[in-house]
Amino acid sequence: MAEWLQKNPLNYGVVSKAPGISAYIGNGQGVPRGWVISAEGKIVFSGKPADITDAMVEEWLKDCPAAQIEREVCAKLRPAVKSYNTGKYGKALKDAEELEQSEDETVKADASFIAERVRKAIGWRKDAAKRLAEDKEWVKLHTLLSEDAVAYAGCEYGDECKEKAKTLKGEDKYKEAVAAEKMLGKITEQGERLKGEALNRELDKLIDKYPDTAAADRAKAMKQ
Amino acid sequence: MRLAAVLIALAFALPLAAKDFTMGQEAPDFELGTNKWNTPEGFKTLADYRGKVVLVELWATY
Repeated sequence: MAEWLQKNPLNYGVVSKAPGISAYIGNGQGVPRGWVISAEGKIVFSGKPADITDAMVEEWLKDCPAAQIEREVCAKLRPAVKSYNTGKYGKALKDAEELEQSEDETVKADASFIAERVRKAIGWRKDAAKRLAEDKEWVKLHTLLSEDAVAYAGCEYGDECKEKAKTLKGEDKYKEAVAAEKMLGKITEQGERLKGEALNRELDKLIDKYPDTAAADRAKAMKQ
Repeated sequence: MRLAAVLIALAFALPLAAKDFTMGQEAPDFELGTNKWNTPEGFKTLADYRGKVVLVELWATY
């Protein structure tokens, strides 16, 4: 598959024999078959992928926090939209939350629309951070917190991320994870030259040295 | 970027019968497993795509 993808680049992910996918395979219709899952994790389409129309895609994406805000808002909210569309979500939230208290119903509605999008995105980022912590992916967690400390600067969540990133960076588990990732990176760089037993020996060294890391888990999965 | 969709294709060696789901129900989570290509760095399960619109497409080779 990897070889085929080099010759035929795709812009979507491909997975094979995914554990747990049996939930999608049953006694219904055969392939081709697809499902669209909303940003909230709900099933919003089930059927033949060829039946998906542009209008359906537009509808699914319109409230997706990852998308830009393209709808017209009142003048007072335009700076918040500009902040949102340039990735300054913390500033957008702060501005929108202030205007959510407005007595003008139009201003209030536009402010809530923007604030709600940012709050949803914060919820998902927190879920992602929780999963990374459960998997002991300290390096990735630090990257997420550092990115969010910048993107969400100006709101409580941004400050929280800044503090957590700083604390995590000083912890032994983070330092160990960085060292383990570096070691795994070196093994991976050797690529084709390391195969079979030679590769397993290098991976075992990492597993022994850093047993309680996500890199060790990846090393175990890489063993041939 | 306007388009936030991610497409996952699931390759199998055998013909499949796909399940139907009720619209609006929580999408069952599954692991991406070790046989994966082009998936974002650090993504391990479908839930990692939360916040994006995802098309899961099943296909088979015969």
